[in-house]
Amino acid sequence: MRPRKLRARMFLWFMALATVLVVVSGAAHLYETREALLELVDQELGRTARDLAERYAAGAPLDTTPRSPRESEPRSFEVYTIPDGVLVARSPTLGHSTQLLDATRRAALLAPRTAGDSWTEEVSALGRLRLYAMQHALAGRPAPGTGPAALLIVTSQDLKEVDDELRDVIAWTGATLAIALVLAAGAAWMAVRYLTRPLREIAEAATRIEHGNGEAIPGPGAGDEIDALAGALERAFSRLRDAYERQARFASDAAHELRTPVAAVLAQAEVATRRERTVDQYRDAMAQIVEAAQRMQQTLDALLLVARGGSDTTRVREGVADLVSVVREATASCEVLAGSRAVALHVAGPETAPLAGDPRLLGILVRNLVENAVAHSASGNSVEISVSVEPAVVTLRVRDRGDGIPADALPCVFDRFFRVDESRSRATGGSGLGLSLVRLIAELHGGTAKAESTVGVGTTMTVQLPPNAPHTGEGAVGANVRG
Amino acid sequence: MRILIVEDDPGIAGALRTGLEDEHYVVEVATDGESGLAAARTGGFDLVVLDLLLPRLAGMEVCRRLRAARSAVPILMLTARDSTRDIVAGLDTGANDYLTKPFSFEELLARVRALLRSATKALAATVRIGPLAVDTAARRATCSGIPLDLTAKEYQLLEFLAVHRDQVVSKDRLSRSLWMHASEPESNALEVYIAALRKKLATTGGDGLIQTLRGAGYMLREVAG
Repeated sequence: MRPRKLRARMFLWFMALATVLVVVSGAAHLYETREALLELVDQELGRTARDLAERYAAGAPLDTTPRSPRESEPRSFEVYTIPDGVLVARSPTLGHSTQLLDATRRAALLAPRTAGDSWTEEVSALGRLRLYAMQHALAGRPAPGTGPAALLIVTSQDLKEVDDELRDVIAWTGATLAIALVLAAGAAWMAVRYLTRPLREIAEAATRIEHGNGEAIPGPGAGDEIDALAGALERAFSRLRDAYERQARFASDAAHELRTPVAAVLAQAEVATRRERTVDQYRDAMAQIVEAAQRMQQTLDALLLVARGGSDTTRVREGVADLVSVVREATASCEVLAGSRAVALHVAGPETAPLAGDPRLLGILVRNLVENAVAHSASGNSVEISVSVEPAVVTLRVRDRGDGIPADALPCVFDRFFRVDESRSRATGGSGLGLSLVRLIAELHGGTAKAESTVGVGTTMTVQLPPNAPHTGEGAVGANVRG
Repeated sequence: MRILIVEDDPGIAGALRTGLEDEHYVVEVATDGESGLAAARTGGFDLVVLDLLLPRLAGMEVCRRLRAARSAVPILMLTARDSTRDIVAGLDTGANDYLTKPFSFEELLARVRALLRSATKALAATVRIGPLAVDTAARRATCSGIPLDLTAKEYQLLEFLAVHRDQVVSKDRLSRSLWMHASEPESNALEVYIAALRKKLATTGGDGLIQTLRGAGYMLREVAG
């Protein structure tokens, strides 16, 4: 059987449940009705038996059927003596060969008892009968040996009419419940459609997203389970989208970045082999090729790093990093470069700044920012690196006193192909992906990177990262790595 | 022919310089946008190979300013950007051709030749003037079907005159197309090369092709009759 739609399955389950309920309640109703009818019959049979007993006591003849409110029903009786079991009277409606009680049952009923007893039995030639047996003590004739001390009176009534009535009840109940089932089916179908509509909408939205023109996943807005599902899907989708876009953008940046060194290698090799060269010319070409290949390697390292670190924010944030110690290590590794340009590096911050993140990636972020700042600084300038911890955010600021960036260029400084000064990457020996990498790593940590600058005064690069846990107080312990 | 390369990557600039000089072009390299613009405006170049990602002044801006200054020098843009939008923007800014990195040096050479050709209104790689045929692609010349045995400088001189056929070319312009700095060679070096060229042409039936116009310069023209 092929899998059905959820809608159809829900409907079938609902209808199965409704049918079971209808059948059980119908059966219960029928049982109640039958019991009530039999109770009525028993009451009348009991009254008839008592009537017979009174007549016997009064010495009246018992050969006629006693009067009853329901005369239309054929009624029979038998009267036995107790304890001998001698048949003293029987209704004329019974034929000679027909007996209401067989020997076994008679023996059982002759045993001493108090209450009346009734049961339903098929009696051949009489049909389905309700029988009622009652023992009746005879007052005033107690002398032993003179007659029976008590009587066993058995009355019976044909159940044909009760059965007819029950059949009517079955027909009516069945019809009513069938109508109820049909109505329930309609209501169930509408309810199922209504309940599954948000699911269809989610599926349609997901399909649109799959085809690339998707927006957000719609939730019914009721705060129910489907809302939760829609929310979870939307979060998953948007996380995947963000990760994909980040990685695609970075891969594109890196691929473009590779073009220049590849072009250099190709041009050098092609030109060098076009004709005979001197040893010095070959040596020079090889040196240029090595230099270009090293730049390629840096770009490839950055790409691999991103691929391994994953584009997934969650995975990156599984680690724990102390931004302050990351800053100290990264700054120390920039000392040689800074020293060669006579630029002083100042680090200020609290003792620690713990956050959820990858120390290696954060180290690359800090190094790129510091190298960028050093490249922009004139000889004798200083670069200030500060970390501050607030409850909701850990902030890293790298400030240089360089030429600054024009206001219209500020929003684009993190884009690979927008460079205010192209020479900076080569001057610092970076892969040229520097600020693009900074933004990528900040975003991988769920943070942001932005640049503020005043032309002629300097530039401040600010990276804000979420901490791993609420943190109180802002440390102010300064540390001077280089005076 | 003088070619200016504006490219900040030392690997690419070095290879282009070597490769183009092998082809006897006179090559100058500028490593940033500002010096590139200055050189292009004053250097009397026949072609500019312009990178787009440049320090100090973007290549696109160099191109825009050159065209704004009414410079008609052919510009071959060289860049890592390869989207249609970038190519359209480059050509619309005034570039004559566009080559994306990485590129084949042979293709760059062919484009350089094509650009120089179209700048001098030459229709094909081979220029024919009477019995003289100058193959600018193979860098060979024949006269009356006989190959001319020319030195590199003699060929350059002949090619320059050939692609500027029927025009008077000043001595100064000729000198600059042959040497990096026009003032450096001895004042009569050009005359020496012209004399040698005339001698080789005369032996192969090309007598009188190079005419001297006193005080103006030289002209390569088909001899009437």
